[in-house]
Amino acid sequence: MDSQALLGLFNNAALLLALALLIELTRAEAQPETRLRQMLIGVGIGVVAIALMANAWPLDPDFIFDARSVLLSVSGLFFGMVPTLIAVTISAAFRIYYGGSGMLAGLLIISSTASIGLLWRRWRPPTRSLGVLELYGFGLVVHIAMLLCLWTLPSPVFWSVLQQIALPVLLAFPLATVLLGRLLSYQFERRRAQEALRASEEKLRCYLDYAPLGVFITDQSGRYVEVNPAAGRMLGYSEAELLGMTIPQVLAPEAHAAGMAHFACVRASGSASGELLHRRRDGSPIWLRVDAVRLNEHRFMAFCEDVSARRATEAALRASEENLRVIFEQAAVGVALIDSRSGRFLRINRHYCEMIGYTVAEMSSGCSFQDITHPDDLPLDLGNMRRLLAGEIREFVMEKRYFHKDGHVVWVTLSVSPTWAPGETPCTHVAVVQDITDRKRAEAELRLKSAALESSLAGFDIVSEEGLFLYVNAAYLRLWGYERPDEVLATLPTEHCADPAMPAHIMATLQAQGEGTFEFTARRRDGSTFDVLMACHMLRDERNRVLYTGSSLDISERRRIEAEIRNFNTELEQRVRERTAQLEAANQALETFVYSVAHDLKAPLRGIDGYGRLLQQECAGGLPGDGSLFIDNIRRATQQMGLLIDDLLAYARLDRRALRRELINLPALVAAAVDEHAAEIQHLAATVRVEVPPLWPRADPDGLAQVLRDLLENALKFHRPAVPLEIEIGGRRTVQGTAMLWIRDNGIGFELKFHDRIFEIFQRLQRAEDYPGTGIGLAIVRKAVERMDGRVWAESVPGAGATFFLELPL
Amino acid sequence: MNHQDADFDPRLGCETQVRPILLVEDNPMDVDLTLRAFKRRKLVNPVNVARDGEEALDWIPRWEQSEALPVVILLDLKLPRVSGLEVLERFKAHDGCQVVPVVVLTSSVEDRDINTAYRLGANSYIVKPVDFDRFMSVAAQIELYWCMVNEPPR
Repeated sequence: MDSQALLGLFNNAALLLALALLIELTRAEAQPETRLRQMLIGVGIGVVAIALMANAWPLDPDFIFDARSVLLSVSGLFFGMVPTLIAVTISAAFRIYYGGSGMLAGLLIISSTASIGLLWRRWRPPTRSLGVLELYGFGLVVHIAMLLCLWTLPSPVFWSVLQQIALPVLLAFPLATVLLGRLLSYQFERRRAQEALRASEEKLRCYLDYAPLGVFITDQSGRYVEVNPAAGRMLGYSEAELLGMTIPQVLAPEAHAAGMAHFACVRASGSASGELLHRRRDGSPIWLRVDAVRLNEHRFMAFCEDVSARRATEAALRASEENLRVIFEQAAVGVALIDSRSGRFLRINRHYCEMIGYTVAEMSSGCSFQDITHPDDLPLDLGNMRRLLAGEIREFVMEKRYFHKDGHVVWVTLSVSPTWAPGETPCTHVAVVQDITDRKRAEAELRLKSAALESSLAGFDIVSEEGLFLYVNAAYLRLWGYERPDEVLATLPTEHCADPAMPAHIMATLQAQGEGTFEFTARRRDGSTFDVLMACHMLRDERNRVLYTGSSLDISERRRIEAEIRNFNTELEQRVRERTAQLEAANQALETFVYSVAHDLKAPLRGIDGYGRLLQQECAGGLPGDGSLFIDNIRRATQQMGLLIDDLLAYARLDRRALRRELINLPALVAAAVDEHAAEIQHLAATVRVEVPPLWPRADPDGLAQVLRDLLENALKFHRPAVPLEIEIGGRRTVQGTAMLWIRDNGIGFELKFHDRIFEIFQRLQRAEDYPGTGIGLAIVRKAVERMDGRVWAESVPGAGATFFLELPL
Repeated sequence: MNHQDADFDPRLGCETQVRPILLVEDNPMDVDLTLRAFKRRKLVNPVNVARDGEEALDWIPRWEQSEALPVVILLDLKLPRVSGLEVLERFKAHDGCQVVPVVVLTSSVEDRDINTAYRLGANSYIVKPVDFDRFMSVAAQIELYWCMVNEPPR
């Protein structure tokens, strides 16, 4: 190797290094890898290749030896297809221009080394960095290929060239390849690292600029030294305004202490988290969650999140929960949360418990809805629950009965809604119950009344304000000859009356008076008529619409009977008048008879007696035999006749006299009667004991006086000879509320079998010569007492006395 | 018909103020017995007898012609032609004779008769007993009371 060759080599090495620098410079500024740029690089490499060839050392006039193999292989390896092909084209053109016998070998070398570079680039893993060993291997392969290309030289030249260059090529050129490759590789790697760093910084800036979190960086005094846009937005300041401000300036006054404690904590322990109330520039409050870290002794970074909305939501949630709790507890309906599988009450409100009479504690300690449900309602309830659990229904409402703690039934409307969403596992359900016992009772009562109305014998109808039938009961159908209610509903009330104006008249009357009773002639379906009595009312329904009700009775029969009764009454009155006239005539005749008796019957007697007496007095001496005795008998009979007439008249008078009804002082009347007979009592030496308590019966004073008189006379008359007469008059008030008086004597009495006969007229038990009398006295007594609504009876022990009882109303 | 007893002297009656008794009675036996009863009482007053209602009323014109008014009129109720009650009514309606006491002397004890008689102005109502002895005592009492005790209107 001569000095010229060495010089060539150095030139080549310098050109290669220049290439590396050129590439370094062209790549200093970031440029996109465009096709133009690749072409420029290709041209540049081509130029360098020409320079290499121009500075080669000639081994032979036809053959130049240079480092183009290094350049083109490295170009293929590092720059790829386009630049390398351009460089190859330029190199090849120059080599052809250079000419000589080594041209073929030169062209082969250019193409083979560039191809090996391209193929190496293609087949190696692109991510792995090009190490020294790989580059050396690459250089050896390239240059072995280069030496093989020399084979095309003429044999003598080949051997001489091989002899000269084989060693430098195999020793120096792979090393040059390593050197150039490492230079380029280093450049490439550094560039990639720079780009990665730039991208990372951009990403970080992006994070800060677009982060939703506010980022604050302070110094150790709490002064902001860097903030992001989100931080400015949160507090309403611009980023520039915030810089220079301190932490206390953005804290709400009430959060100062907490905020400074938080900062102190970060400084001491390196991090702290908490929610602090801040004040925005416009004074409005904002809650920030502050997560702060210590970057170093002088820098502290805080990430802040606006939690105002969350806190407001939480507060609203708390308020909502409180509201729900109040609603739950204070609801006017029973509300309970129930375990859907077991039916146990998990939560139950007060109203629910009160409804069924248990305490909340009793209900919450394992009680299930099955325990308190009426057995008749349980199957339906459980069936609904099964369907709910199976997802067949989403909720249900039913009416059911609970047992109150004290045993009575409570009717409720139960609404059940599950708390699980469709598809979720069933867990609990909400039961809302409302006490409808009163409504049930009202319904039952209404049903009862409706049934009563339907079974009423009176026809009942309801007519709307417009005059249309709304309802008729069964009796109405019967009365008017219809079979079904809808047949009536299709008709108008006017068709049901003989006079079509009647419904309007009834409605007008009801509008004026509210109610009324009407009698009119009704028309049946078949056109026949009947008399009806209808009691009508104007009512209002729940929508305040006017309704007219009518309750009807068929009074045809009553009318007919009334007419009959009227006729009958007329007839009866006529008959009564006739009979009265007859009676009056008879009475008149009787009156006349009695009058005649009173006046005329006694006159002859008086004549008989008078002249008998005169005969006795004035002709006594002239009467033969028993003449005087006969006259005595005549006179006695006459006087007896007179007494009879008197008593008969008295008896007859009782019937005709109008009796009075007065309160009578009975003891006084008895005393008066006794006084009246004082002479006779004295004459008989009788004892009369009167013990009558104060009694005031209602009777006719004259009649009662007559009765007492007759009874007293009766007692005085029927005394026993030779037995001192004792009369006891007593009285008392009976339990029936009547006055009783008795007159007891110790006279001759009478046999029990005669106790009734003695009150009959003309009935005498004694001989007239023993006890004179007419036989009318006690008949008068009985008649008088009976006319005074009283009662008289007698008891006796024959030979030992009689007791006459008198009972009179008080 | 003016029946005068043998003992009766009208002039004496008038002049000595012994005024007559007018007995209105249709039953002749009753008239007889009454007169006999008065006679036994030694009655000084003359007794005029009217035998029916009409005859009794005929006395009214006579009294109007200044004949002496009777000291008492004894009036039976059951009379032919004009009833005793009608006679009573007419007497009591007449200015002149309404002052004369009228004693109803009858067999009837009917309330109707008694009440009507008093209403029409009868001064007394006496029932004639069947027993002659009692009849005598009644006559005696009438005489004693109405002719001796009672001061007749002038």
